[in-house]
Amino acid sequence: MKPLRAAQREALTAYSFVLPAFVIILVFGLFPVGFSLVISLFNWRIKSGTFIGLDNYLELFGSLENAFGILAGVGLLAGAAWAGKGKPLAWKIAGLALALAGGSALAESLASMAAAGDADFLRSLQVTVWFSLGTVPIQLALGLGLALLLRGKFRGRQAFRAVFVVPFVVPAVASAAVFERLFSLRPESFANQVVHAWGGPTLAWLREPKSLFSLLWNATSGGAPGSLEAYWSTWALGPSLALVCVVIYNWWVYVGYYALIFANGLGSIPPQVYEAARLDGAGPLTMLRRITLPLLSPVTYFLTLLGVIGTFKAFNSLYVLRDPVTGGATDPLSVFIFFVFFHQSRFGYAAALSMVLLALVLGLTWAQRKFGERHVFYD
Amino acid sequence: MKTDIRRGLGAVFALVLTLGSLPLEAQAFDKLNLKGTVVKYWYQHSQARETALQAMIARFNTTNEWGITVKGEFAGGYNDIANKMIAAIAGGATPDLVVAYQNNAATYAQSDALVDLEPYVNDAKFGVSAQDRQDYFEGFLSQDVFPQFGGVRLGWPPNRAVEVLYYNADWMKALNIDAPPKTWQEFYDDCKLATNAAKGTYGYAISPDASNVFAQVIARGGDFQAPQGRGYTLNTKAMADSFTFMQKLYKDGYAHKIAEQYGDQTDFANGKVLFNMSSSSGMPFYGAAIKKGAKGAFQWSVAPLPRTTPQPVQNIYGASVSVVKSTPEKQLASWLFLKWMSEPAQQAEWVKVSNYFPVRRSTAAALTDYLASNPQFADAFAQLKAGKQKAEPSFTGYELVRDAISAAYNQVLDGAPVPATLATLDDKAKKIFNQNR
Amino acid sequence: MTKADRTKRITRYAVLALGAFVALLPLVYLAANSLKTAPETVTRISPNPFAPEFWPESPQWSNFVSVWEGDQFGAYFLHSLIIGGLTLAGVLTTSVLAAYAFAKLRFPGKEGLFSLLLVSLMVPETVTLIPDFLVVKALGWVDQLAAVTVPFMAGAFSLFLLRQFFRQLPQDLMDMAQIDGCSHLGIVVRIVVPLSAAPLSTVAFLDLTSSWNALQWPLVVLQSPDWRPLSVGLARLVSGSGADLPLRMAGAAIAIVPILVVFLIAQKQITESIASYGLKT
Repeated sequence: MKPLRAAQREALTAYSFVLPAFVIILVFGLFPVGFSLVISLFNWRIKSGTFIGLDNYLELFGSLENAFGILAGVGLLAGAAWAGKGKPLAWKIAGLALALAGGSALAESLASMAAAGDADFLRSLQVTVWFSLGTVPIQLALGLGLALLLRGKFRGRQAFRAVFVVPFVVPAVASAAVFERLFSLRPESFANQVVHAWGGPTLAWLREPKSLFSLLWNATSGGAPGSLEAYWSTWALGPSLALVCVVIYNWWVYVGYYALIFANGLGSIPPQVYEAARLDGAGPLTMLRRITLPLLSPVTYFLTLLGVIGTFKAFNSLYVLRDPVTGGATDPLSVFIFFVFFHQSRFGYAAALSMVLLALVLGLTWAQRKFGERHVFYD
Repeated sequence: MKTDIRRGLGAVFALVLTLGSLPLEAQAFDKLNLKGTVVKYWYQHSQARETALQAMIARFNTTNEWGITVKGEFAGGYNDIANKMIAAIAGGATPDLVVAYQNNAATYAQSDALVDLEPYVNDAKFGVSAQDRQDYFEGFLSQDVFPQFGGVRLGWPPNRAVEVLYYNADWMKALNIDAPPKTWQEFYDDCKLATNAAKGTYGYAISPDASNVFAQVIARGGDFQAPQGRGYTLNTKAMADSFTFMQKLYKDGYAHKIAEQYGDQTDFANGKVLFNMSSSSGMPFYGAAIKKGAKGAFQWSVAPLPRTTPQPVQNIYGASVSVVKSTPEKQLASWLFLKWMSEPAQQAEWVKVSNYFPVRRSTAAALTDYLASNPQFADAFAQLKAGKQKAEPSFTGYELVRDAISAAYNQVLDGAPVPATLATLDDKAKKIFNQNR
Repeated sequence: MTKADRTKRITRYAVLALGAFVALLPLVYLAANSLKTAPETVTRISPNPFAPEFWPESPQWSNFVSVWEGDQFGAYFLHSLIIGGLTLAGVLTTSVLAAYAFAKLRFPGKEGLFSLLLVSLMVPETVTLIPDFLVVKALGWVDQLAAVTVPFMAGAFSLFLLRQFFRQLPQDLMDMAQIDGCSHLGIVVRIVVPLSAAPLSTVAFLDLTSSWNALQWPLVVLQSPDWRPLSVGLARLVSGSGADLPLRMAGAAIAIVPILVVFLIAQKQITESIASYGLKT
């Protein structure tokens, strides 16, 4: 037998190195995707079911038109993003047109889906989006702020670093139990006492299904069922107070972790850069804007990606802190799908929902990469 | 000659008819060899109840005449067990006996995972005799018969509990109330008397639990479901009256929402609230909490809920134990264990530890000491024997309807209009029912 | 030191102290409530940890004893340690080998394979729960140690982190080793691993934290107490403790303490390593 060439030997070694990880991830991480895809085409009740093709998806979207409308809308928007990127003006105008068309298709279809399709799914999508918007930006901002404060050497630095990561280390079941008490609706609860000190009323916190904006400035939603207004005005209501409490809990857990990762990024910026800027007369704000943030952009990008994917998959804290009294106001997509699996045992439908969630996550990741890579500055 | 043949044929005919009408199962069960059969039992009990249950299981294993061994395991709370069971059915790794609320049993039955116990109950050798059958509280047994599956029996009750009104007797006396409220108006007045904002006391701790709502509805003569398993009926007068009453009670400040799980029990034990409505199975916990409470021990007891019906109609709840399809031997062994658990001797022992109600009337005879030293339990048991019972719906997906009811109840307490809220709730329940048939 | 510097210093300490207070307050609350009697949790309360009412009148250490004796927490603790240790060993092995291959070796399909593995990061848990259980059942692992360890002995995230780090290790080191006749396995063990203390600690930290707190999967896949981990024991306590808040808090404290102790011992190493592995792509 001819001795293997070096390249082939290297490839063989590589495959054998990758094999264990690959097999485990394939079997336990990827096979479920294929499995779910298959059973989403069936009316699957726990163990078996009848083949119903795309009926589960139809039930979700409400009608074929809605499904097409949403796909077309997303496709047109993606096309618009591609057309607008670094091309001559004519393309940019075309891109704008595409964006308008895509946007309106999406808007119409979603409103129609809210009426004819699975409104609960859309509601949990809203919860997920609010959750993401509420947690990721603040965690980034506070994390960066903390990291900036932890710069340089000073007494107690290590102690502070450790303390800020403790919330992340503590098991969610335990810390969530504490937060449940801190944010309970009793007038003597911690949250209420703080609010009373500022002259506010007793609130129901984790058990308050009313939305934040309706509590703050009486926002309402309305419109004839099925109309654009009916669906899109619900966005004006904002997240429920209960969800806000869960968001605050997540800040507590993750800010220190984000700070730690930012601290690394900061540490890799050579001090000479700052020195030079200071000599040029730059103030701290300018240095932040022109030096720190751009040089930190890979870290920010990484954390944003992680954060957004994480919030779309988020389960634990929202499951532990939920209360049925809020009517699903704190149920993001993953919790909602979990209940379809286990409280209804409609596996086929739940699988279809999971596929849509997966598509959403993949789409978001792709969009972030396309958009983010333009703004990330690598040296 | 012809007559002989005819008579002969007639005899053969008669013999065939007789043989044919014998329940085939009797012969089938008889042929099974149970020696060495091991059955696995998933239960939800922990701590003291679990210890006692394991002791009883050990006793069964050593004393039963068939050589059956039962292995009992704590499998989590009710929700955890339901999740595990669904995964187990999907994967083919099921236990042989599993505790299940009726709507969970319906879910399992839709995947054809459970055994119909009716043939076992009626079996001449291994079943329940007609005489014994009279001893059971029939209302308990009928809960496990499912019209939507053609009347099969999918579980057997090891125990039951009812929704009762807990009241602070000492406090009631101090307020010059001589008996627990029998009507809703009396209940309202009593709550008003007990409320004192300065002292932080109030009348009733509102439990947003769907089982409590059900108890209120049946106390007004209503129900959650249409007969014959045809679906949910949540937009009824009884429901509207219940919600409207509580909305007013809450708005007037005589009732508070519960702040955390078991918050009603905490407030009750510390003398902050006069009334609770909760499961009778909580009585030992209440007793313990009151002893440790801020006001020290006080006299308390339980009563049926206030009602508009002439006789109390009580919400019986409690999961039954279902037998999972497997081999004929395991199925029979599982049934025999269940039957043994429901015999008066075992029931008496179980009652003493768990404080659940027994499923057979004659158990009281073995419980005289216990009843004497647990007056609250004795009161509740007497009420059970005197009253009528109703059970919550057993449809798949009922969990989701329960959540919707809690949410609607909360909205109404916060001031939402009752008719509109109930209409939306009823629509939602209908949708859930149709999706899960 | 100038006055401006002094003010900056004080402000920095003040803000950090506030942040630390916020980070630790819930845990202090946990500690205080685990030592109270049940009625005290309703009658003796205050939002201010510096007020006497925040704390119990006399600490009820018996709460911890009750919790510990009410169940086999010692055994659960041991199980969690074993499960955590085995899973970690597996993850480190599979991830180091695979990450090295992706970072330093050439083979057809490299990019595609890596992207495929990364997709597994986007899959929500709800999707994997039932199919994974089916696999575990088919392999006969239900109730076995293998069920709670093997599925986690590889992870795309650790793979990703390690690959990032390995990429920036100087190629010359490996070339020289190869010239000396070292096999790739040898390179991994003798060169790469010793240089990777930082990312390996990061992976270890993240992996141990997540396996210590895993609840859903062990609940579904373990049916007997044989390998029951601490997280399930805590969940049992929560469903059994009912209204007794101090017991619940004591149970939560028991679940937290071990991982907290490990973290505090290793925190310097951990925080420095998380803060020192390169995120440059």
